[in-house]
Amino acid sequence: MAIIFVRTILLYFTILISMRIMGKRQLGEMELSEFIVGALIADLAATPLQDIGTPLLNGLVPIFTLFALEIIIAGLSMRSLKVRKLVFGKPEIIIENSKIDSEKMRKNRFTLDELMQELRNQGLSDTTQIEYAVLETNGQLNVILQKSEQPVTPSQLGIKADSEGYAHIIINEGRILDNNLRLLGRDRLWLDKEIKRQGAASAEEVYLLTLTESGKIFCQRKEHAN
Amino acid sequence: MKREIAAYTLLLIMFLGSLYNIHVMDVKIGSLRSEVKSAYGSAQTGDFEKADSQLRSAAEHWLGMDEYTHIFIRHTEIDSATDAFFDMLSDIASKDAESAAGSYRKLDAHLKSLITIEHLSFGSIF
Repeated sequence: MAIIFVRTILLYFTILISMRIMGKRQLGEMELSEFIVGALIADLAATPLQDIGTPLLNGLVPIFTLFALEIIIAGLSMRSLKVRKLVFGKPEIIIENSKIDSEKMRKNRFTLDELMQELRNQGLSDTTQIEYAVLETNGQLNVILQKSEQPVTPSQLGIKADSEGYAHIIINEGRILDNNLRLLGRDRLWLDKEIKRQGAASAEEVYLLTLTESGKIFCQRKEHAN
Repeated sequence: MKREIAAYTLLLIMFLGSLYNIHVMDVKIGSLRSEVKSAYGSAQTGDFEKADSQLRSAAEHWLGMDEYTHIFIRHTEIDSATDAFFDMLSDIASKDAESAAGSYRKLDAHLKSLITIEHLSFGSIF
């Protein structure tokens, strides 16, 4: 029992650190090689966890090997287009000027039902609205709308739109994030005044308070504090 | 690039480590096989006391390797080899040369397999 406990902790941190070093993309949209590593690591870790008769090293060595290979492949593919194409493939234009390329659909084993589902996911009902649809190497379908279907931008209307800047969290569930406060050139005194102005007695009553670089404030008080 | 160098280094360390493990297993298990063979030879000549002493010494060496073997070898393989040691010890204690011959072959096969499963060969890989 104690062996399984210690092994679980060791493997948990091994996988956590490996995944962290491999990069954030591992968590979401995975490329083919990343998917292989993710799937294999999960299985490799399970064996020495379930069977204490298997040396822990039998799980750790393949995990470290996969981790090292993934780092090497990722590095090589960053420097070489050929390696990138070989390992990850290349994006395919599935729809061009509203016309579905059936040959590329077949090549990528992408069915019409899947295509329509993807389009509906993006709020599109038919292909006439689409100028290009690109099947990315991670399997995601990115759609570029026809010019006539694209939302109007302020620049097209000749309106000058000022950026409000990034909204930094100042209070997170009652906790004041002093680093963010300092980053925006404010202090606790300013914050106390702002909290009072928002109708709260103290920071503990605030669920979320954000402040943009342009000075725009959003404040939501905790529900029980209202 | 630093990460890649670290990854190459990690792969190299693991590869060299596994080669070192093969070497250690070759030497230690090879030595054990010689000890067991000597014990078997003594048993075949009828000197069961000497055979018993030699085999006990080999078994102690085997059990003394426990810290190392448990890290690198499946525990079921270790248990099988340990059982084979005690089987042969039992046959020698009962001064049964024929049974001792059988249990020697069993023990030697177990010890030999511990080396061969670690070696890089077409058979061991596939």
